[in-house]
Amino acid sequence: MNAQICTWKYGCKFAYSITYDEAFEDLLAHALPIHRRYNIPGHLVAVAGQLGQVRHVPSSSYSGKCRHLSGAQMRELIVEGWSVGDHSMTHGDLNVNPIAEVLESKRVLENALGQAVNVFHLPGADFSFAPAARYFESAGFLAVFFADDRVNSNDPDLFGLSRTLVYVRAGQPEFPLYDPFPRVYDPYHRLHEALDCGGWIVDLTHLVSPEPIALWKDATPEILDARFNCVRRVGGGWEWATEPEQVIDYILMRRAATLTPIEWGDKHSAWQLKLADVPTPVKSRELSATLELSAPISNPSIWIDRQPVAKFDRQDDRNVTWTWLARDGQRIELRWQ
Amino acid sequence: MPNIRIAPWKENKRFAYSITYDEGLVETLGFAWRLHRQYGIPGQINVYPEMLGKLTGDLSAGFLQSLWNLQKFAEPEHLQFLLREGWRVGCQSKLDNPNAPAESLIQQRLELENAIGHPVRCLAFNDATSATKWRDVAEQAGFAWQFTLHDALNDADDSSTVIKRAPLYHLGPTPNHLANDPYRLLALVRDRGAWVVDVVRLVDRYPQDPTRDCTPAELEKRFQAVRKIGAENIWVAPPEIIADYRALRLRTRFADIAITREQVAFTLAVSGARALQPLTWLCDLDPVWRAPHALMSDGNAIPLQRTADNAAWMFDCPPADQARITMFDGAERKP
Repeated sequence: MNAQICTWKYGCKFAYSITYDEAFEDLLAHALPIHRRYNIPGHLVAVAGQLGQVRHVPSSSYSGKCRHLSGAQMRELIVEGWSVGDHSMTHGDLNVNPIAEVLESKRVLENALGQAVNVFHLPGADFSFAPAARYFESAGFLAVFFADDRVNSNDPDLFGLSRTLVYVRAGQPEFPLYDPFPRVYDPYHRLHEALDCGGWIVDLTHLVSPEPIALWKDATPEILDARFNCVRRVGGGWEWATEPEQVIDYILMRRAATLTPIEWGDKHSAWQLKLADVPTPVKSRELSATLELSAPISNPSIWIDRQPVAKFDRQDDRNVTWTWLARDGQRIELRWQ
Repeated sequence: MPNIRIAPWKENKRFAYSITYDEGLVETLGFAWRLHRQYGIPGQINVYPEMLGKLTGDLSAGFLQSLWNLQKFAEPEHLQFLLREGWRVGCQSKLDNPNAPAESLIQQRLELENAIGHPVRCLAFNDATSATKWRDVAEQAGFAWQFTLHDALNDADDSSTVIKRAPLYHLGPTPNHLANDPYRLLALVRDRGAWVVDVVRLVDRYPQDPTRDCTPAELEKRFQAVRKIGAENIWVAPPEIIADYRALRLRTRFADIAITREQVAFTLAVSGARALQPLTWLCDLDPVWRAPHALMSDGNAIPLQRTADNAAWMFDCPPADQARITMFDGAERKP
């Protein structure tokens, strides 16, 4: 009989998240209904210095055209299970004023949201990472996202996480010198790869609108719907579709957790959970575990500190999987008849 | 009434896959052909006729430096070897004389055909617009198919001679930073019952142009994904063969359909195409028939097979204009 912490929550085989850079107000009309239909919470990537304002970033495709969500609007989405990441104070080069862009932006966002902001998303090109990198950890961020179109492994460097683009991109190339051919978006992008490697896909898009502005980084509602449809179909119930803070928290909890067998009996077995240091900003402290049984048993039940677990996430003849709020030193017991 | 039709793809496969290599660099062949043989995926290579066997790069550099920057183009015998492996060879477009483009292309086609001893029917363009622009000229010059760089799927009912190709890349440029996804477009093409044609320039451990080149490992993962997503449902062949099938299917019509309890007969009308290869015919027949056969005009009778999904009967035969095909139950009378 073998007990182990699951790679992903609920015993899922891969994880999926989606992020919206700039956190524009249009999401409420065009993206939120699709999120609700597929039960996939999203993640807003907010420019702290322009909350609730019409975008003013002269180099941006959206400048003067789109309004950022306000703190109040984002708090309503948080209630629905969404989360918010930091996209700097001005969406500028982090090296010009890293204190404001990395440290001050976090404080401004946290004040507006009334909760910790744990992830940072590099604005613009990723070149600004290296010089500013020294600030992220000390500021209390748990993770930093790039935009380099990779599937994250299930044990990734949290300060070098990848995101893949969801985009419209039809017709002739926007930048033929660099990207000489038109590209079509594949709604299955990286899903089968994630299923193969048990990794974590984090999608990245910007505006979701029937009339997108930047075809290489915006989506239409139809494209978003097709993407979520593929996520659910490829996943087939084995996908953990959630916002990225949940995933980061789970990875940190999993890394800190150890299950040690302490008792073996005729009708029960028990383990002790050891939780090493979990970073303070971690919000979700749940873990999932799977018990692999050497032989089928009847009426298995899980007890944590002598309290029964209400339900299993998954159960078959040889495996039971469940999720619980984890604390250091908990006694986890399997009973059967 | 029996529903007689031609399968969108050969052997009633649900979707199709091809891969092409532009420019004909010999490094590509060194890494690629073994993978092609291993995974049963014949490819297509497009070459500059005047560059066969030549070296390019900075020849003035010292020997060691030259090793790093020289590129060699395939020799005719390399291409003949690939033809024997089931590949096809196409011509990479290079319009030497804009004032007489058709003559220029004819000359290149003949030069390549003479070098390899095999017909050349495809012309590859390495951009997104030229294939459409020069399509008529290419057809005048004897090129049945024009390949373009346009990342999209080809539909089964598309009658265009321009074949869209989806580039396999190592790493896309800014601002998108796209990176190679071995499954890219494969599940989508399966869902849509369409045809995806990959294009690569160089397959090397150290890709030179990240938007057009890939590594051998990336290519192998791509082929694994083709086989995994495709399973028994994918038709894998050089694009020339699939394009011929598609065009022939779209040009074939049924006429004079006669249906009785004992037999179903029809005449073919094939417009403007030679019978280059067999088509896969599908038909729903009377369920009491136990051993359906198709009797051809030449007196040859072919037994029909059940499709994989058991939903219809099928047989393969090349369409000939005005040929009459009669289907009957071989269990009731001798074929």
